[in-house]
Amino acid sequence: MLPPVAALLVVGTWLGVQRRAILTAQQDCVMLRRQLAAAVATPPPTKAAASDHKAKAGMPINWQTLAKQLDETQQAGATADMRVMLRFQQRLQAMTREELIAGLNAIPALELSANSRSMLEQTLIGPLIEIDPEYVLTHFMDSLQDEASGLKWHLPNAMREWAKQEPAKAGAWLDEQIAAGKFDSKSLDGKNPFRVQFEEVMLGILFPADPATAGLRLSAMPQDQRGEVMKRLLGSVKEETQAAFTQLVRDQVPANEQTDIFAQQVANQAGKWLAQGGYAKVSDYLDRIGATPAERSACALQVAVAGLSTSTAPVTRENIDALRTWIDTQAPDSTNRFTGNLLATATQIMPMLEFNDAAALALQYSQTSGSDDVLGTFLESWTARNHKDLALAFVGDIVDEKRRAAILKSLQ
Amino acid sequence: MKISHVAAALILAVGACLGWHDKQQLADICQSRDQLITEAARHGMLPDPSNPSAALRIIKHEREDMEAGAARLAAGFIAFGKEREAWEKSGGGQADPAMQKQMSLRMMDFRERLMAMDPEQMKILIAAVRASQDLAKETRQRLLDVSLLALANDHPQAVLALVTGSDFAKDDPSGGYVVSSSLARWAKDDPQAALSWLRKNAAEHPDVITDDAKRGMLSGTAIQDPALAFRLIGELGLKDTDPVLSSIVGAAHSPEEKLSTLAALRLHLTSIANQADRDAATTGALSIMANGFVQDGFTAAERWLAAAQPTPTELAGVAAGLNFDPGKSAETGQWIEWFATALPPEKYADRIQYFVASWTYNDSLAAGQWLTTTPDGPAKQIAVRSYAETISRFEPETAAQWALTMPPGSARDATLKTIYQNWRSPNPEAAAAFAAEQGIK
Repeated sequence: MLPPVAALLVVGTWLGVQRRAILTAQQDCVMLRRQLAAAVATPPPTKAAASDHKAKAGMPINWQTLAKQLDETQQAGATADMRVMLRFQQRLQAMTREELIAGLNAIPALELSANSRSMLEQTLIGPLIEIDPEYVLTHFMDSLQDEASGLKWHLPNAMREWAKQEPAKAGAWLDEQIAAGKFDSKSLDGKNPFRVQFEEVMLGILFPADPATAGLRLSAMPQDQRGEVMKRLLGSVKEETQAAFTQLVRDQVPANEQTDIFAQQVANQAGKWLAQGGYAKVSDYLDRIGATPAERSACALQVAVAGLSTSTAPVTRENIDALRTWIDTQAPDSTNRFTGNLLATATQIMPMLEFNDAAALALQYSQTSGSDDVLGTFLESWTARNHKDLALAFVGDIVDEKRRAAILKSLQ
Repeated sequence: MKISHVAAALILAVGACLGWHDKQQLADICQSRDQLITEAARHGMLPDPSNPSAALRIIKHEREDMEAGAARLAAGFIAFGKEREAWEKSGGGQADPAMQKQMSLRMMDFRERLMAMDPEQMKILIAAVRASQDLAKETRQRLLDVSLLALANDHPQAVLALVTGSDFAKDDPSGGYVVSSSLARWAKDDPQAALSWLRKNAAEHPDVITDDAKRGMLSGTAIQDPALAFRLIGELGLKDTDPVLSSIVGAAHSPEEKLSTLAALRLHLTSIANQADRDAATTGALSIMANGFVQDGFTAAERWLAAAQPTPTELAGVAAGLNFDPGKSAETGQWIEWFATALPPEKYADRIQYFVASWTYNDSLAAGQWLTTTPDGPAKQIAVRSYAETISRFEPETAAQWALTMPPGSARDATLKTIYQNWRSPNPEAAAAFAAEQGIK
């Protein structure tokens, strides 16, 4: 029996030694974790940590490893180790202009998939734009023609940062690029979405201080793209620049696109205006821009919807009466139709109006106005198609036979 | 051979197995300890990092230090929350972009320190944040979410215990994400433990363990074991809907992972009795899997498809998941040809129509050149129709020329009519002449 006993002794000793080592290592880990938790939770960081950060900031960067980590973290999504991403972000924030440029130059030679390469490029370009937007534009402008490049999406932001610092130089450079055909388009409509974005950025910076120069830039654009640029600028128009903005739209944008821009402006501002000065504030705006009847009508519809969106209580008859009175002053031909639209919308957005209550109100307004338009518009809306059974009960109240038949057909 | 020798050999063999297992475990723990020692040295905690064992015996803080540390971090975090709240009220990043960067760096610093906390410390911090009633509700909730997500990085089970042990998940709009990502993280490392927790708590905490949370469980499980993830669909009371399938299929990224997930899917599909449900699940899952194929390039996709050997239903799913990408427009012709060879006509028509229309809109010259070199056939006719209809709004004469290359029949008639309608608005006279010439009424 000696061999089994000897074997047991050998195995037992070996396992015992290993288990004790495991236990000790586990205890060390627990203790270290606790100490670290206490230390890390204690601001400010120690001198050693600070010097380590400094040392890391100066260390050569292994771009291949960094790219791989970023790739894995992005792919892992919710299960990624947040610490890796955090360290990457911290490292990124500490990078110098030269490091960022070196990184961007190193990327093409890295062994990465096209997607990973693009992701890394896009990660590095943001901090470089903050430091040196001119460099980004002058070195990566060709990415605009590279359909696979993700860098091009960041160029308008670089343009913005450069134009903030040196508007004249940035503008002259942009003109050179346009002349060199960098914004030529292969698409059927001849539009280049980047031209619109670059011009929006330039105009957004030029316009508040120098509307005349902004106007000159806009006039150099193809006519069918000016409206889009002006619409994108709406968010940055202030009270004091409203008149100049309107003038620019009137002078430069095709007439059939102007209504859309002003209606969008009202949609953006109506909530604020209604809260500040009620409908009078909107009327002031429409008078100030010299709104045409079509523009007043389009804007009135936006006001009706905006009033609903900003309200915290369901719409009431009093609210609708007040709105109708105001629409009568701006677009009297549209009052009944917009009331129908308003009631239909009120059944879909919070705080919701019950379909039957909305339909009953529509019927009352139709009867008092002597027009089918309120109830007709309401029953022609998609909310009626969503409540077919309830809607059918009101179809008989449409006076116009033709319209009644058409609504009935659409609901059946 | 004597019995005693056999017994000794057996003991040594079993011992070797156990010892090997212990050795692996020890190696893992030592690796963790080394990382912790490096981390500790970084924080200046080890007076002699070259001799960590000695140093470990030296550093002994009291429990009170940890609690005090957690309370200090909580106070700093709450103060930061208040500062950020005031900054946002005064216009935030739009008013002061430089401060935005500072705020972002400070938040990163807090995240790092929060991630280093253990669950006990986190409890102290969370209690302090919840008690800070002078913070706006949204700010308080944001601080709680950041804290819980930081804890979830290393201790997902602790987050789940915290959330189910209190009522703050109910008012938290992003609480669902915290629970779902904690479950995903836990299931990724230990699917059985996460599953066991979920089984125990699902009935008692339906407000916490929602379908979103269950999908988190599936996505984490799928990283390690897609077959188990598919099996769990039924057990967790979920259906084979696109969001559910996406949780599992979306966890596969590399071609190999996708092949492995496909094998697990095929096994799972055998458990679906109804043919229509089975087909819907197949096409849904494969279309999700094929989502990045165009971006990854035709060659890579072709290689994967050759290895996957998809069935006709699976191919239909792949085709449905492909989207035109302007960044890969040079390969669009190859994809169109692939549709025509891989799918029956009733399945490829709308795919070819969509790819050609998108390509034509983005680069009509390249699409036109491809058409001129493509051999005739039913697929080409669909492509010609799509091309002609798309350019008809901009170049009606060219559109008409292409339409007239189509064989006579209803498709050609419909194309000519579309061209006429699109031509009318910019040039009614030319459109009328065209209609008269082609007999369009």
